[in-house]
Formats: sequence, C-alpha cells, structure tokens
Amino acid sequence: MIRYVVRRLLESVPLLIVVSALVFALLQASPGSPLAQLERDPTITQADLERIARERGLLDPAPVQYARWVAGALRGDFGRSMQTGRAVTTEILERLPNTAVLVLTAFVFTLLVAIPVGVLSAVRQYSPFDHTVTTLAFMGQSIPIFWLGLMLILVFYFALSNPFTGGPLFPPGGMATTGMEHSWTNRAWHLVLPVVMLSSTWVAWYTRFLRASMLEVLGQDYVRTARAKGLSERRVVYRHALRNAALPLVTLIALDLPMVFSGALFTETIFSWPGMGRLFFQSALRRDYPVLMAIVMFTSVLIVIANLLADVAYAYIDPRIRYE
Amino acid sequence: MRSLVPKPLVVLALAALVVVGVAHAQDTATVLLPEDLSTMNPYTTTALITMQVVPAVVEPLVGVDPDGQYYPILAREVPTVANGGVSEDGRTVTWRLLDGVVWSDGTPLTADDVVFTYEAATTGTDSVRAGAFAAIEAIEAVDDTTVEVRYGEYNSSYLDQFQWGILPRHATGDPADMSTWDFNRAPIGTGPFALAEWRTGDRIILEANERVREGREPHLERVVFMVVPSEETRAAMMQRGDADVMLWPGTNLRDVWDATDLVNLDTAPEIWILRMFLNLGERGNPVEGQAPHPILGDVRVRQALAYGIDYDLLIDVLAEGRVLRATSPFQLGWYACELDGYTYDTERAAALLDEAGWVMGDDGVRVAQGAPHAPDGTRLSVEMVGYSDFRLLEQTMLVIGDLYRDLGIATDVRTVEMSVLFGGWSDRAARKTGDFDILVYDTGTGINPQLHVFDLLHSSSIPREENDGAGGNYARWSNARADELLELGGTSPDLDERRAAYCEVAELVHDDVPQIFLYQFAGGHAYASRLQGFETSTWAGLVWNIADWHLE
Repeated sequence: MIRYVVRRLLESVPLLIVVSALVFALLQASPGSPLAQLERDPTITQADLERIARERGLLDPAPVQYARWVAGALRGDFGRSMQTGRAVTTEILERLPNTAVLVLTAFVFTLLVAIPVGVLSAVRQYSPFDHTVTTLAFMGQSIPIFWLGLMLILVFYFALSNPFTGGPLFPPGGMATTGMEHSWTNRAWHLVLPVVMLSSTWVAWYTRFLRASMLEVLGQDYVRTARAKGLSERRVVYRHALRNAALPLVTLIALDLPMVFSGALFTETIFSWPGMGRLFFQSALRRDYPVLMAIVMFTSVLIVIANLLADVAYAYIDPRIRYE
Repeated sequence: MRSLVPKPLVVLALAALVVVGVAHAQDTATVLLPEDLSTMNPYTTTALITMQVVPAVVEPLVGVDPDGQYYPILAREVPTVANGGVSEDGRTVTWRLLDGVVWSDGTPLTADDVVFTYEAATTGTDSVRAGAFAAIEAIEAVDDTTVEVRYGEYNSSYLDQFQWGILPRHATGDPADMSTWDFNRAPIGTGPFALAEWRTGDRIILEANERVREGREPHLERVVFMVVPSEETRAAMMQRGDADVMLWPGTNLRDVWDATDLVNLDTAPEIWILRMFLNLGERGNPVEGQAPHPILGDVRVRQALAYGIDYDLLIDVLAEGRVLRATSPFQLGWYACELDGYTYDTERAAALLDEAGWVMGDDGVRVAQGAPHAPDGTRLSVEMVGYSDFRLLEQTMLVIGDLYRDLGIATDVRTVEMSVLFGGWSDRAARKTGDFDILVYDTGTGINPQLHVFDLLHSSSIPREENDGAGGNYARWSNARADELLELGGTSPDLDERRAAYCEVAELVHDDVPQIFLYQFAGGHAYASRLQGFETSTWAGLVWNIADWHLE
C-alpha cells in the first residue's frame, strides 16, 4: 500500500509541471496587464509605468519569467502579490482558515443531511417522504445559488427580526461582529446562512446520488441473502447496502474536497466572507499573476492528493479492491 | 404527538438568539466598501479606493474643499505669492508646517518628513508618483518646520504634489524597499484616526488618534470599514440601519433610498464632462496644415450643431436630472467660469446652415450649394462615435442624432469598444489619426486644470505625424490667442490671473466650437440619517472631513 502511494505521488510530479507551464502560458496569452489599473490614472507618467514594469520583471521574455517562477516555487517562494507587495504565501495563509471553516462546515452539514435522507429516500421509494425529498432536491439543484443567498439575506436578515433583541435574526455576512471575534456563539451565528447557501446544491446532489446508488445495491443478491439470514432491516441497510452504495460517493467527495482550498466564490461574495474564492477572483480581475499561479498550483496538488485519498479509501471500504 | 425536533435543541436555539443580539453604538460609525484596499501607502497605488480611507490617517500638506479651494492641513497656510510662500518668479515654494504636530506614535512631525516623502515618491520601488514630483530640482528642510522646494521653472502643480500625504521617515524604511514596508499595512499618521486593525478582505478598524493636534479631534471613537462585495447586501445593511455610509451606491438604488427615511444620498458634481469633439480637419490625414473638414471645417455648421441640441431634454428627461449642465471645460473649483453656453434653437441652427451653403434637399437631408469646403451636391451627413457598454451615452447620441435629422443633417450613430476608441497612435486609433467626424465621450480635469486643458486645446497638442501622435487635441483646433492664454495658465503663479486666462479660453471655445459640452456627471455616497456632518466632495475622498462626523 505504501509503495502504491509513493508511486502515485511520484507519478504526479510531471503532471504538476505540465499544469504549471500550461497555466503560466495561458495567463501570459490572455489580454490585460497587471498594470492596467495604473494606466487609467491620468496623473501617472509613461516613465513611471515603464520603471514599475521593469522592477516587477514584466518586461522579461515569458520563458525567463517562468523559469524565475519555478526556481522560486521549488524553494517555497511564490513571489509577491503585484497588488499588495506582500508574500503570496502570507496572502493565502491569511485567507485559508476562513475558507476552511466555511467549506468544511458546509461539507459536514451536507453529509449529515444527505446520507440519512438519501438512504431513507431509497428504502422508502415512492413514499410521500421520497417524493418530497425528490422535489426539494430538484429545486436545490436548479436554484441559482447566488439568488438563494440573496433570498436568505432578504428573509433572515432583512425581513425577520429576533424577537428578544429586535435585531436581525441572522447577520448579513462577515465572520463575526466587530469586537466579538472570540465568541464561538457569535461565529456560529455568522456561519448559519453561508453554510445553508453553500450546502444547498451539495445536499441536493448527494441525496439524489446516494438514493440512486442505494436503489441499485438494494436489488443485489447479497442484500437478499442478508435478509434471508434473518438480519435486522437496519443492519441490512446500513451495514450491507450503504457500505457498498457509499463507494461512488467517495469519488464525489474527493472531487469536491479541493474546494476547501479554492473557496466558494458566490457564497464568499454574497456573505462578505474573506476567503480564497474572493482572493482568486480579485487576483484574476487584476491579473495578479503570482497569486493566481500559487492558488492554481496548490489546488492542483490538492486534487492529486484528494484523488489518491479516494483510491485509498476504496480499498478500506471495499476489501475486494487491492493495489499492487 | 412526538415533536420532530429534540427539546434541548429548541432551548439552545432560543438561548443563542438572546446571546447574539448586537446593540447600536453611539461612538462607532460603520462604512461599507465594495472591495478591500490593496495597500495603505498612497505612493504605491493609484486605486481610488485607497483615498477613501487612508486620508483619515495619513494627512497631506494642503487639501481641496468641496468648493474647489485649497486649504491648509499640515501646512500653516497655503503658499501663494501674496503671503510670500511662493517667490516672485514662482520657482521657489516655502512650506511652513504647523507647530507641535506629532505622529500617532508620539514622534514629532518635522520638515525632514516632507523631504523624506519626496525621496520615497521619486526613488521608492513601485512608486507610482515619481513623475508627479519630477519638476522639483531641489528640496531642503530649512529648519524643523520649514521646507523649501525649488523648481527649474514655475510649476503650476506645486500645490498638488503633496496631496497624497506625508510619510514618517522614522516609521517607514528605506525607499528601496517601499513595496514591502510594514507601513503599507500599518501606517503611522498624523490624522484624526489611527489604524487599530486591518483584517484583509474583511474590515479595517480605525480608532480616534489620541495624540491628534488640538482642533482636529474626531467626534467618533471608532470607524469600521467593512468590505461587503455584494451591492444588494450593502443596500440591505443601509436599510436595516446596520451601517452608516455606503461608498458609491449605484444609481439603480435611488428608489431604495427614496423609500426610507433612514438613508440619505449626498451627491456632488464629478469632474467628468460628456462632450462632442468635432473634427475640424480632413478625415484621416494627420499632418500639419491639412485641409479643413468638408462639413465641420466651417464654424457656422459647428455652431448650428451646438444650437441643434435640446440640452434640457438630455439633462432632465433622459438623465432624469442626475447630471448637470456644462458649458465649458472649466466648470468647477477655483477656476470655474460663468458662461451661458448654447441653448436649443432650431431656427437659428437652420439659418446658420442655410447661410453656410447647405440647403434642404428633397429627401430631408441638406446638400452643399456654395459651401466653402465641400463641392456642391455633397450630402450633409456626419458620423457620431461613442464607446459601448454605457447606456446613457448611447441614448444621448441617439437623441442628438434624431434632433439633427430634423435639421436636415443625416447622422450615423455608432459605438465601439472603449479599448478601441481610446487606442494609441501606434494602434492607428481613429481618434489619434483624426479619422472621424464627431466623437462623444467624457473627460475632465482635477483641481489643477493646466495639464489637461493644454493637452486638449493647445495647437501643439494636435496629434500628427510631426509629433508622433502626442497630445489630446483631437478636434485639431488651432487658435493663436488660445495658445497664448493656455501658456499663461502654465506660467503664472497668480491663481486669479490664471482663472481669467482660462475663462477667455472658454469664450474662444464657445465661439469657435471645437467641442460641444453636453453635461457633467454627478456622484456620491449614501449615508444614514443619524450620521451628522457627512459631506461628499468632488475633489477629495470619502473621509476628507471624517473628524466632523458624529452620530445622533
């Protein structure tokens, strides 16, 4: 197993190199310049612009710039943001915990809701419960999530008031009230609406997915055998059926997990959450190449790792799967 | 029947509701920003958002009030020839600083900090202001509160050079490292507020500067700048009374503010004037002394075009009164000129066109019959080009096109992408090479109009082969008297004399019509009714008078 993991990790090195070169080339080829914002200011002179472009190495040929980036990245130095002048790693480390809290909470919430609901929906196929869940799931998949976010604010921040304090029921965004950053209740209160917004689509997808894969498994011979053995229905469903039905779910989770790093742009924008999604978006708008490169590369690494984890998890869940 | 939700959960939820209530503080104002600042060092960024926050902490020598008049901030007075601050030849400017000013860390402010600001701006890495200080030949701290600045020749921007704020030598670093100074994240200033905390992408918290000089103390204890990217969320927070100021609300929100007593909108004129540039020279022939434009080369036609526009219709109906009438390039500030401008007068316009040799044809379009620059039979047809993705501009052009058609002028209205319209000489952009009839776009000038209007109206600023396309006199207007006056505006150290010169230029532009002025934009901020002392300024960022803000 360990050999397998090591081999997979080594195999991913050339892949990451290709990714970095491709992304760098795409950024170079796309129109726009990190200095465009400066050029719009009528008080800045052409001489100033040229000097700044030279100082930042933007006048060097693209291969030279790429080589410089690789040399730095290998030493763990991803350069400085063109906007703020701060180290890219500082920028990212500042945002990462914020995004991690939001995305992980939404993830856990999603699994806590989607697994029991999906299983129940399959076990009681075509029951009123199943129909309700199916309808809600389709709604969850089709509602644009930025619209849902705005509606959440309209209802739970703007329209409804807290009957005890007269203030809003939930805050309109941010991670905590100014001065109450260390209060866990305050932080949790700020998490509620963004987590609901972010998980709505996930819950819908995961529920439908699990329902389908449970239905398939429930018709298998080994489930009939388990029932024939006289096992309790609970044991049949959760021990024998779910364990097999969950296998494809692991793939889904592995694909979504890198979002913990890359962030959730819409949710972060609507709920003023200072996370990775907004950092990436802002950097893209301003052509802040060092930040963009670093985020794309970290995300790629995470995708590689998440896929590897998924494969390892397969072996754990399904003993028939063995890696040489 | 059994409840679906366990009882302990209900109790917990209710408890949470009680705990998290937030009270309105009387000493804290909340400002909503659409995006975070990238740095607090005004010498490494040109982003407008920076100047909406930083001047509360980092102060300049002089500022510009909403009326466009200079007033001293860290200087004792605005240096002029009259008070001896500017030498007779205008080449030496003496700044005298206020006594007893200290930085928020307790160190005294000295003339050396002004010298340091110059050094950082001109030699600092990533400095975006080096060009603005280039005219300075020497700068010297004469004593602790006196700085002498010497220029090679009189420089009309001498008051604007220190408008971005004075930097502390002791709390910054080597200019060679300016892009990585700690100061950029945690500035030390002399202003009414000091930075307490900056959480990237989230909020900036300013607290009253305890060491601020007498007379500059703020009423508020704390101002929180919250970064709220969604405009809908910002508007909801204003309506709910959870925020006191919203920076730059969109005009689509006007109905929202009208519907509530909690929020007011405070607008001020913006420097941008929408105008038509009439091409006086032959199309697409950018050489000195080229032939006049067959239609627009005649001043009577140009005047007819100016009389042919219903300005009230554009301003009151089309723009719903959100813009202001403009009649010259000199609308605001100390240099504002009183000028009546053209009025909508179709009879006069028609008479001028008749007189210029353009008679009405059978199909409703005039044709040349004895026009000075066009062969007989030429149709009176012009092309009007503006930039795309700006609805009001496009509608304005369409309305003008309709009005012109009624006068017998066939008008073809078109928009092109901004990056195309404002292309450079090397791109052979139509604006630069003169390959157009009429261009419509907005441009404007700051508190020192000299560089802008010289570029726009002086004959040496006509882009052509001889000067490699430098300059912005796209109408290709050449007027010897205007040239003289514009040169005077750049060399006279006397503001009254400069203003008189500019206003005479305005008269010449009015009579000769190289440009037609349509209207001037206005913008501002939304603020809570409970916030007193708030005022939007054309010339300064949101916080220019933040010390005066207080809550009811």
